[in-house]
Amino acid sequence: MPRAMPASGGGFGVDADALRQAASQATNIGDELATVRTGLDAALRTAQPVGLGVGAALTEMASAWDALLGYLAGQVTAAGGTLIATARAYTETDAHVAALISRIEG
Amino acid sequence: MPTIELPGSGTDAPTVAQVRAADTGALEHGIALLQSFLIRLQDTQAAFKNNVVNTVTQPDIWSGPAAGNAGASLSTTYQEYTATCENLAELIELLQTGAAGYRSAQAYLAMARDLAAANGLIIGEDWSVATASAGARPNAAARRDVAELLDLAQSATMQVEGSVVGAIESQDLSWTDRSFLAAAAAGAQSAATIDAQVTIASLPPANFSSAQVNQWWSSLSAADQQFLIRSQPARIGSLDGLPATARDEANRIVLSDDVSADQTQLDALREQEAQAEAELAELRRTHGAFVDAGRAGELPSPAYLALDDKLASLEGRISATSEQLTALTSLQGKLDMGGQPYEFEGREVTMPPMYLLGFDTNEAGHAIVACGDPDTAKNVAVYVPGLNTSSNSAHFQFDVQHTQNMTLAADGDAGANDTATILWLGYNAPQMTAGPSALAVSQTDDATAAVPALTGFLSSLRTTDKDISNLTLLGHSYGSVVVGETARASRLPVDNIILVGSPGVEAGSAAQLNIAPSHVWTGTAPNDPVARLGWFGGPPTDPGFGANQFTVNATGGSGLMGQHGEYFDDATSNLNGDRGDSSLNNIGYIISGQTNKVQLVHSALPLPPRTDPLPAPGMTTASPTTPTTPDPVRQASPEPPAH
Repeated sequence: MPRAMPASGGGFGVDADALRQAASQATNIGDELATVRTGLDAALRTAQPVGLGVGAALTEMASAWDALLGYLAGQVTAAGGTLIATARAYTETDAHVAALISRIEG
Repeated sequence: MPTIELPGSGTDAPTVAQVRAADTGALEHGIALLQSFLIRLQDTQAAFKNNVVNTVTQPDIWSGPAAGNAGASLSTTYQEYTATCENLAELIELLQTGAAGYRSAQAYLAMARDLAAANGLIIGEDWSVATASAGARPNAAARRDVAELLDLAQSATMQVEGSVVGAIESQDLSWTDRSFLAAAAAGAQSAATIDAQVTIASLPPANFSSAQVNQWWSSLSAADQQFLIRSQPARIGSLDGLPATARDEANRIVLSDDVSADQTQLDALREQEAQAEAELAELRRTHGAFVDAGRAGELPSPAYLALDDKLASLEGRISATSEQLTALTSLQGKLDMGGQPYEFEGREVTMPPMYLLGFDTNEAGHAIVACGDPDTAKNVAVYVPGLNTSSNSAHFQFDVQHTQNMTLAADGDAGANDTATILWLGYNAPQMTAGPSALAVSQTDDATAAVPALTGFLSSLRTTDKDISNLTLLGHSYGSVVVGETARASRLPVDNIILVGSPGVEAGSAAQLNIAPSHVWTGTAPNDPVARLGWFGGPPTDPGFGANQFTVNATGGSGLMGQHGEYFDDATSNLNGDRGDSSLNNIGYIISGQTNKVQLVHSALPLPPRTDPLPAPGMTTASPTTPTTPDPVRQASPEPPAH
């Protein structure tokens, strides 16, 4: 469908339920990332051939990878938390915004 | 991507026993596990994009300053996701290379041991070769062969220990430290934005009229207005009913951001292109016999084909991004012409102020550009362009120039600077491309879709400028179809309608446009191929349509479509060098409300049989044909415009 520029009026909208769903998804993804983080660490240790340089390098990098996955999982989980908090904040201010708009219309 | 560095010279060489005992099976098992976790990581990345980023960034789900910041923050996280996946994929590739190297080393070592055992030789832990017992007679050839095999084994081992191990250790995973700082800053900003939004209220609902939007805007403090312009420029820039100055300020921010984004993307693409070209050159250098498609009996390798495809894709993206960047910077240049000295048809003028009333780069791009202040002008014209108009194309600058020409012509005719002409590309103009979409130009879908937006925009002009005395709506080419559809849908608040180079307007007569036919003006060049298409009904220049037809003195220059683009040329660029009878002059008279000066081929009402012939198709220097019969448009008072 062809898209034209936004029509008169523009609009402000928050679908708090959709935000909550996205937040829930982010939380689930964060949990899955935590599992991946644990498994990845085990895989790195499995892949270490005794006595050779690759094994030593993997040992050295394992902690960095653990921190990286931990960081990523934290970012995603934090995004979920922020979205939930945002949805709650908008729900609470709905009444305030509605009152303001009704004053403008009046 | 991580930096790959070779290790230092202090790397200890593995012993023969270490290589022999190395558990490459464990390494390969570990690689398989890492691959499975990469897939899981990529799956969560896709889920994050589809279920979180794409949801949250939908304007109908969440819009506002906080939404913008949240979207940016989520995009950053997504980019970090991408970097993590790339890092892991690279690690797996390095480990695969390492495993292959170790396997080769072990194979050479096994061959050396077998050969040594068969010839009474022993291999030392330091990769040396010696006779098994004192006094034994050495087999020099066997000893040399064993030594060569050991060299190969050691070389393969050191290749892994050097470049592969070094690359693994050099993987740059430290970007998380930098991202933490950025994320912390973005989080603080996001929280502050939410607070600010709650205190200054939100954007108006979608069902507000332009008058209500105008009232809402006026109710805000100057500081709040500035906050919204800075925090939500795309939304503010598209709001009908806002002052032109506010929309212009917001849209110029959007335009500037898009220029920066294009430049950044172009730089990144060119870097990727250079890297791919270097990889291709290296492939040719090292495996030339296997990658040279031109040599008989040989086929390019998969690696060669993959790089070749990648290069072709990059070149396409570079071309598209480069063209858009050129278009956007050209638009900036046109906007900067406001207030500057300019030569128009042999006279020195000052270019009226330029305003960007709408802008985005979606699809083929959208832009609303005004030459002259639409909030103060006495005469305002809205020009709807047609086929292939794209603000993402460098050619768009000529559409803007046409707009400037119309304002300057009308101002020149009126003798005052009180005209604003607005190029309205607020719809998806059909793009003539190969394939199924080529049919779009012969269909009305795009025109029909444009009706609400154009109607709303026209209404908003009289909201923000109460002193408009003459509002003209002009459609060129497919734009005339848009105008026709819009005018048929409702009574528009316009005083005149102009249709030029029209392939029909989906109306059988001027009366169907909800305006008095004497206020409908049409023009066609003698050899305009589009005007002969008849895709959307008969030509509006046909006397039976019931509109006025004004003279168009076009030559077309070279090319089939030459005359189709000549309606807005000034005398300098018009190949006739004509003045006084050109299409632009007639359009200027209509825009400035001086319709009694328009040079007509025929007027809106039926004319008695003519004795002088109309300009024949193909005439390139036709004289203006002012009707000698009484012109009802000039003699009778025009009907009041259908507002």
